[in-house]
Order: sequence, then C-alpha cells, then structure tokens
Amino acid sequence: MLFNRPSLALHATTLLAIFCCSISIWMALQLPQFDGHWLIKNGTLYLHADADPDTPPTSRPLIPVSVSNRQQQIIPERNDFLEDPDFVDRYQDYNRIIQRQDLWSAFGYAPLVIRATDTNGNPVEWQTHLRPRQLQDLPKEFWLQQVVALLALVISGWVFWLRHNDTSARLFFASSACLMPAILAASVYSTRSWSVPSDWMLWLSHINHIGTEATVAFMLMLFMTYPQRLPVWRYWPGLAVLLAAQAWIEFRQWSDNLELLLRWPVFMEIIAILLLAVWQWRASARNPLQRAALRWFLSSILISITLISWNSMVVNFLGLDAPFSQSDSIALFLILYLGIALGLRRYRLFDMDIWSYRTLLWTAGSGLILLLDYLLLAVMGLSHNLSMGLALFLTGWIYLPLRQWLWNRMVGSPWQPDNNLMPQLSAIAWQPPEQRQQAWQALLQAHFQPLHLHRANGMDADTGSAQLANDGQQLLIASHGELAPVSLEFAQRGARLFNRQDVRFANSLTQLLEQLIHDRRDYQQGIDEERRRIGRDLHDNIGARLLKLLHRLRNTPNEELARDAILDLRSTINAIDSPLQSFADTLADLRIEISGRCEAASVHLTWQVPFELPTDNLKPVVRSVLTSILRELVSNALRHATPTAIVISMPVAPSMSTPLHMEISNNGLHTSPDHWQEGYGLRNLRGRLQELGGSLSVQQPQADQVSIHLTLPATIWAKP
Amino acid sequence: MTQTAHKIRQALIIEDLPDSQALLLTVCQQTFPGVTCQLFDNLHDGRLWLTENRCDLLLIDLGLPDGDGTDLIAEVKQSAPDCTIVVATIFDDDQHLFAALQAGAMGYLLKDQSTAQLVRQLQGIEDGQPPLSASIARRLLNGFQVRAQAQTQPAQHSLSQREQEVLGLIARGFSSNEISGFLEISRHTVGDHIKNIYRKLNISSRAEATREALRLGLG
Repeated sequence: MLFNRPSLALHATTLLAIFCCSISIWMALQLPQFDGHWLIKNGTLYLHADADPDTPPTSRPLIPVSVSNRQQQIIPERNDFLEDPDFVDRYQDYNRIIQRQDLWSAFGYAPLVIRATDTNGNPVEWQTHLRPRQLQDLPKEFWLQQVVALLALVISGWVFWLRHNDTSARLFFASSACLMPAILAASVYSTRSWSVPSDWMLWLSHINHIGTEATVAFMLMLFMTYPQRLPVWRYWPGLAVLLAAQAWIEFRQWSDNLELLLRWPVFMEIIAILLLAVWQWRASARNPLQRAALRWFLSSILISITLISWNSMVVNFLGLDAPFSQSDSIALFLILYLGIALGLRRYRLFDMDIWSYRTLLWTAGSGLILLLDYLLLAVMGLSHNLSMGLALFLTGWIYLPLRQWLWNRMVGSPWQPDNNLMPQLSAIAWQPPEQRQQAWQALLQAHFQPLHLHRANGMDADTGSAQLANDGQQLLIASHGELAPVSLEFAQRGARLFNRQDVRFANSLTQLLEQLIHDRRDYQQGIDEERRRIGRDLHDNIGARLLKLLHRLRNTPNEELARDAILDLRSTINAIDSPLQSFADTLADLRIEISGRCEAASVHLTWQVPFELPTDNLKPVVRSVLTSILRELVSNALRHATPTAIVISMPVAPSMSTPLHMEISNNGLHTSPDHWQEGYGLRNLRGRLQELGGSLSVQQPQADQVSIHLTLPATIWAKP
Repeated sequence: MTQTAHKIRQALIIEDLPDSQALLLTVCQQTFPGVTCQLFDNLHDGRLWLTENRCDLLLIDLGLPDGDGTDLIAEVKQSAPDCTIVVATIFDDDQHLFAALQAGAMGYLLKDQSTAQLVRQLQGIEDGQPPLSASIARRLLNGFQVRAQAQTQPAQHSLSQREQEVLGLIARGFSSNEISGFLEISRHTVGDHIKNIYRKLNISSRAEATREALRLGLG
C-alpha cells in the first residue's frame, strides 16, 4: 500500500496536484482574452486599454459607457468585473454578477465597439475584438495560485504519508487538500480578462466557498489537538455537523445576507482558531520544546490567515478597497506552507525527523527534471528556424548530459545489485575495529538506500538474524561480533518495502563480514605469533651467544663492539615487539641508553631537547635508523675522542610539517674530521639516512670540538 | 616501609650461562664483602635449596633451561618477603621484565655492563636506588592510569601525585639525578618513590590475581 511507500505516495500526490492544476489551466485557457483590463477604484469602474494599433491608445483610464456589437449592447456594471462575485454583501448582487457573465460571453470573437469617456468627459470610441487565450496571456497571479495550490497539497501530503497514523497530520492534510480546490477554482475566475460562462462561475464559486469553509474547519480541529489534545476536542463531531450545516445553508442561500451566511461564520472560525492558539500556548507553558515548535507553527499559520482574512473580510466589512487583490493575498499561503516546511526541519513539527526531507527532495528533483524535459520540448517546438543539426547538438551534447547529471545528483540511480560488495566487505574487515561500524552502515546505506538508518541499540541482539518490522517498513539487522545492530527504514528511499529476500541478503552479508573479520584476526594472530617467535629466538640464541662473546672479550679493546651488538639486538627485538613507537618514547629510550653509557665512561652528557615532544608514531625504519645513528655517533665519540662532555641538542621539536634537526657534539677530538676514515658503520648509516631524504654533516667549530648535524625531512611519521 | 636496609649474608644466584654465573658471583662478592653465595644453573635445584635454606639476596635469570625465573620470584616473594630479589637479564624492555617486576622483583641488572657498573647498580638496589627503564615506566604509567580510570583500584594501590611525577619523568628518559634536580628532592627520595612504585605494582598485581581467582571460584 501507499502508506508503506512514502516516496511513491508523494509522487502520486504530486501527480494528482499537477493534474488538478492542469484542469484549472485548461479552464482558464477556454476563456476569451481582452486586450485591455478592467479596474475598480473608489467604487468606480475604469477601463485601461492595452496597446492597440488602430484606436486612441491611451494610458489614461477611461470610464466605460457601453459595449456593443451587431447583436447586443451592454451597459457595463461595476460588479461585473469584481475579482470574486462574493465581494458583495447580498446574494441578490452575487447572483446577478454570475448571471450577467453569459451576456458578456455572448460577444464571442466578433468585432465590438466600446464607448467610453475620458476623465475630462470627452467621448472615446474603441473598436476591438476578443481573441482566444494563449498560455502567455495568463497573468502572474494565476500562476502564483497554481504554485500555492501545488505546494499546499505536496507539503501536507508529505507530512501525511510519513505520519499517517497521527490525527494532527491527517487534519493538516485534510485542511490543505480542501484549500487546493478552493484556490484553483478562484484562480480561474478571479484572473479572467473578460468573462466566465455563468454555470462555470457558479460551480467554481461553490467549490471555492465549500473548500474555504472546510479548510478553516479542519484547521480549527487541528488546533484542538495539536500540539496538545485540548478537552474541547471531544466536541469535534458536533462541530463538524454544525459547520457542515453552515456550508449547506450558505450553498442554498437561505438568506439574502451573504455577509451573514459566508463571511461571518468564517470570521468567527478564525477568531476561534486564535482563541485555541492562545489556549494551546498556555497549555504548553511547562514544555519549552513544544512551545518552541508551537511558536513557529502558530506564527506561520496566524500571519498568513490573519493577513488573508484582514484583506478579504475586515476590509469588506469596513467598505474600503483591498490593499492587494485576492489573488495576491493567496500568495500569503506560501508563508504558511514554507514556514511549516522549515519548521518541520527545525522543530520537528508533527514529530517528523530530518530524514523525511529526503523524500521531499527526491520528489522535487524528479519533478524538476520533468519540467526541464517539458521546457526543452517547448523550446524545440517553438523555434521553427532551429536547424535539425543544431537541435541534435543541443539535445545530445548539452541537454542530455545535463539531465543525466541532475538526475544522478537529485534523484539517484534506481536500485541495482552492487557487484563491488565483496571488495567493500573485505575493506571493512581490514579497517580498524573502531571504524568498522561506520563503514558497515555506509555499505548498508548504499545498498538498501533506506530513508533512515540508525543504530538499534535497544534491539534484542541474541536473535542473530535480520528481521522485518512494521510490515516491511523496517529491516532490523542483528549485531554480529563487534558490529552493533542497525535499523533501516523505508527501503530504496521509500520506494519499496523490505522483503524476505532482503532479510536473506542481509543475513549473508553479515555472515560474510563476520567470516572476513574472523579470518583477518587469524591472519593478524599468525603474524603476531611469528613475530614473537623470531623475537624469542633472537633473544634466547643470539642474545646468549653475544653475551658469551662479551664475557670473553671483557677488558679487551673489542669489549665495546660486543656491547654495541647487544644494544643493536635489543633495539631490534624492541622493534619486533612493538613496530610502532612514538617520537617521544624513542627519544626517551635513547636518552636512558646514552646517559647510562656516558655515566659508565664518566662523560658529562647534556641533553638539550624540548620537554614536550610529538607523540606521533615514527615509521619503523626511521626509528631504527635514528636509534642506530645516535648510538654509532656516541660510540665513535667515546671510542676515538675520549671526550669529557657530550652535548645532544634539538632546538625545536619536529612536526608533521617541520623537519628534524639534531646535533651531537663532543670535545676532546685529536684529528680533523677531514682526515677521518669513515668506518663501515657510519658509511652504512649515511646511506640509510640519505634513502630517507636526510643528511649528516660534520663540523669542527674549534680545534678540540666536533659537532655532527643530523637532518631528517618531515616525512618520518607513520600514517595514523 | 617494611623494607629496611639489612646486611646481606647469604646470596642465591640462579643463572645457566657459566660465564654470566661467574660474573654475577664476582659482582656479588665485590658488592657485599663476606657474603656467602650459592650457585645453581636451573630452577629445580634452586627451589630445592630454598626449602632448607633462606637467602637475603636472590639474583636470577629469567630464561632458564627448566622454566621461567618469574615463577620462583613469586614464590620467594611469598615465603621470604624480606629477601631482595634482582633479575639478571640482557633486556630491560617491558616485554621481558614486566612480569618479573609484577611478581615481586625489586630491580634488575643488565648483564652486558661492566663489572664496575654492575657493582654500582646492585649497591643501588640495596641502598634504595633501584633502576627503572623508560619503557617499563611507560607501561607502568599506562597500567596505573587504566586501572585508575576503571576505578578498580583501591586507594592504597594507586600512585601518589609525586610517584606519578617521578614515573612520568622516567618515562621521558630522565635519570634519577635529573629527576632529583627537576623536582628538587634528594636522590634518595627519588629512589624511595621508585621502590614504592615497585611495591605497589607487586601489591596490585597480587590483588588482581586474587580477585581473578575469586571470580573463577578458586578463592
């Protein structure tokens, strides 16, 4: 059913609204078009002639005297050209306006003569004729009313289809559904250029009256129950009967007093709405959230209704000219519906969630594309001198790609099975556990395209299987391993229901993902075990042998060599145990090691490094090179220079954007660095340093001092 | 403070490498003149000896032919709380030492160092200047923080403000001397803090083991 497919329902509603608008457009096009317009000012009827080649084109208003052709002559009456026949106080006048329409219609398209006087009293004669109406003759007021009517039905329909179990949503929809025919009916006759057939005007006026009365009545009931159900709500059946009776009395014209039968009841109802609004306002005093929503809803409704009624009714009571035409005042309803649409987003009016906007946007998108198609056809049809080649070029190279782009952006491709699911699932399994949930939800979103997707933490997680809920509106996917349960609502942007096949598919997806995560974990465990084994072997075998070697070499010049080898082995095993280490930790380890060695050699170590160092991880290779280089440099200094002091300095901590600069200097040097013979160790390290984009330079600022400058680029960091 | 400086008369050395055994013996005798040393190259013999005798100092390697030295450390900590237990190792990283320190070792010696250095270190342990590597300090810091956050830590097991500061500085690679200068406390006070950290590590790991045993229904 449509209730379960809000997108489909909204499309259907939009189509219905477009159909209704088409009827009113068709009707408006059947009316005759007059190249002038009638104007009522201070109770007097004036005539403005539009540009006409033969007769005195005058911008001055004329006072019409008679209109005639061979068959008949009519003395124009002021009321004949009232926007709405109900702008009078008595049904006698109202009926007369409607009856006289046929007199005016009888002129047909034959030539006619209009006699008038200008404002100075000079007679003017104008020969003209009526012509069939074209689309471009329809005035902007007419189109404005079509837009308002369309918007009223679409926005209220949107609320209704998503919240159809809610009484207030139903009342809002009913109210708007009655408003639409009322506006459309009025749009036909109120924007007439000459006349409307009498029977058309009679029935259009009835539709307008009944529609308006029903709109206000439903609005009245809405305020009895939204946002809070007031005690007075229980009288609604009585109220409905009363209002229906009033509409019947008005339809039957039980009295000649139009003001009493039509305007006063609507006026009273609006007063009642205002009172109910105050009541609702007071009732929400303890509920700030409700009050904020109500404030928005009330201002939208009250601003538009008050302005409209003030314009069309209070002004009538006072007998003044309306400040703007009825057609223009209809535009005030735009405030109402746009205000409500905005309020839905901001204040969750009718408890609607933000995701509900997607339905509306989607419908708007497809509507826009249809409109573009229509415009293209219209342009192509109108431009006779457009060559076939140019037309093909415009369509094929410009229009179709644009249309496709718009379609992809706003409506999206229809659902199709995704062949990339396997690689995507596998990618999820390889992501860090904390990111898996998000990636999983993204995959479900892309695959099922639900309007709404969220974690369903309250769900019973033990079932282990996906399940349907709310007759297929909802698909619940159980938790698996570390993945939290997820709830999906309204499949494929609300265009279809979830079904058994979706359940099976979701189950295989979760099982597959679980298997992949499991395999991945096994794989990682294998790696970890192997790493531990290598570390243990190094520790037990090589470590013990190196130690033996050290014992044999004790008190010989080669003792340090064996010790350095043990140190290197220590860092290697460290690196195996924890491949990633932060810059700060690496330097801390180096500091302890170097200070221990300096202490043993009775050398004073000065460690000038910023207190706060980056805690970002170094690439394993950088850590190994940095450790080995510092160790080698310190060893060399201790071995060859017999220094009394070593200074290790780093003026600025490196960062993701600044390179690393370190300096190791010591005193006690005997030979100039130019005569140094680089041993294998330092040559090797220089090579590894260059591979990383770093460099090493030796300086001798004083005869008994040497300093080595070490640079590494800002690319030393491991990816987070 | 239960651990007061006491005279070392009897030492037990368990180390399987003959060269290392000889080194540890020399270091022990140089550090504590007149000490009697008992040497074994496996856990079994050492354990057997301990049933009849007691020692003031236990120097023990971790990777022994018939098992892990950590087990014996835990046993000795239980049966002879006053005994100073020192691990002899070539690796001072947390992977290899942490369990032994949790079990009750009061320090460690790095066997690749010179005899003079080893003597100084052993003296340091006995005088209340135990060594603590930066990587172990970091692991301790993390462990205590995690437990403090989880609030499973009774007050007497958590570190004091000062102890946390000391641990933090060690984790940054500061030496005891630098820490005493930095915090303006004496070197001995730094040593006391480190000893306390060791003690709390041992207490809290035992408490955890007990809780775990209770949870499993063994308590």
